[in-house]
Amino acid sequence: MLAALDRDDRRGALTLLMRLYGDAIYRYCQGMVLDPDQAADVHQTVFVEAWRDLPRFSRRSSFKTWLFAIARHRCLDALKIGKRRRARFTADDDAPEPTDAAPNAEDSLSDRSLLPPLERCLGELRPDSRTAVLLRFQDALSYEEMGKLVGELPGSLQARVARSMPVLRKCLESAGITL
Amino acid sequence: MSDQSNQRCERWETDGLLALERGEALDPHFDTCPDCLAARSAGEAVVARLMQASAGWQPPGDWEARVFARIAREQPARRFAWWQVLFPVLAAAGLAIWLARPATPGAGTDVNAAPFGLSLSIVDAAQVVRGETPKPGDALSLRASVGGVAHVGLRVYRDDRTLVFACGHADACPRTADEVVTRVTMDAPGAYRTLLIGGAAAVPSPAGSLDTDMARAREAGLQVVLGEVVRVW
Repeated sequence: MLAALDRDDRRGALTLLMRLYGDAIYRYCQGMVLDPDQAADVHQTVFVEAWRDLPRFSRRSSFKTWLFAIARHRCLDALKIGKRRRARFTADDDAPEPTDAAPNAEDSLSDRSLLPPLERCLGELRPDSRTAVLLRFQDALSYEEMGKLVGELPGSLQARVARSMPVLRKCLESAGITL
Repeated sequence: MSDQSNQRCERWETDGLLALERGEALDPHFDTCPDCLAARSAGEAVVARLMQASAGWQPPGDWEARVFARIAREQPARRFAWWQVLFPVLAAAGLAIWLARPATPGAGTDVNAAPFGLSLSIVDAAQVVRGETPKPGDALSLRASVGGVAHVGLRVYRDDRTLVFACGHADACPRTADEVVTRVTMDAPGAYRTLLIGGAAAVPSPAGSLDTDMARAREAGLQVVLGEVVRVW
């Protein structure tokens, strides 16, 4: 990868990045936005941005962490856009603020009964908690890597993951999933 | 796990899980208490379910081609190459018309008889003219023909709003009798445009945006030449 970059072969470097991390980034996007079409769009955007920014890649982080950082930002953007769209069509503007324990505005995606239970249960987590759980278990990032990626202390992320797991467990059990 | 297990071993979910995530040694209680062992096992099953389910999330088969298609769409220089042909033709035609016009001294404010124009090229750190999309750190090599023009200003803007280079007001432009030649490094991504101003009146101080500075120069009766856009990414 670095050799391709050093040769100024941006296309070659991007192709390699897509082969190495394309699936993992997609899984992360799907877990975050919980919608396959939106996940596919965000996923492509991540690599278009990577193409644009490759010449400026500082090499201070790994390519993997760098790509996940781009993906996280684009997923949060997609969630915000979705939230604004839904708010536009919501008559009751005085709805109570969501809390961590209850499904929030982002989680209305999980109302679709056809989504598998796991997707619905992931939707019960706030986006920052969802990010932490997905990066930790789905993508096997270390807390150090996660901390660099999201700009938080590893301890905060550890606590967030530990708080999220019982929420997921209870949700899956209530959906009839045998654990 | 049964419904009752939701109430069991809360200590595992408050203390045990956090210790596990922190990589700390677990309290021996968690290895002996049956409820805690069951809660721990349920937690491991959640992770297994997560990995199992998300393994089925796969991107569309042609996603790599779609990425490159989007990149191609967003690269203006390659998509609109016809500009590179049309622009010189129009410029040459305009110059021919301008040169063929009857001399009307005193008829307007732009009375400088000398050719007044701008050419630019892109160089990298090794001073080689680049043929590809410029990258941050590359430089604009600017050459302005200003023979006989009393006052000259040269400016470079990024995204039409950020002034990244200016001479001719506070700092004099590096000028010979007929030319101003300088080099401006393009540190950040963006669309860079060069503005050459000249004439008999003093060059107004830069206001910071391309539109404002062009308007001010024209109000002052100065000639204005706008360079082509150079995109850096």
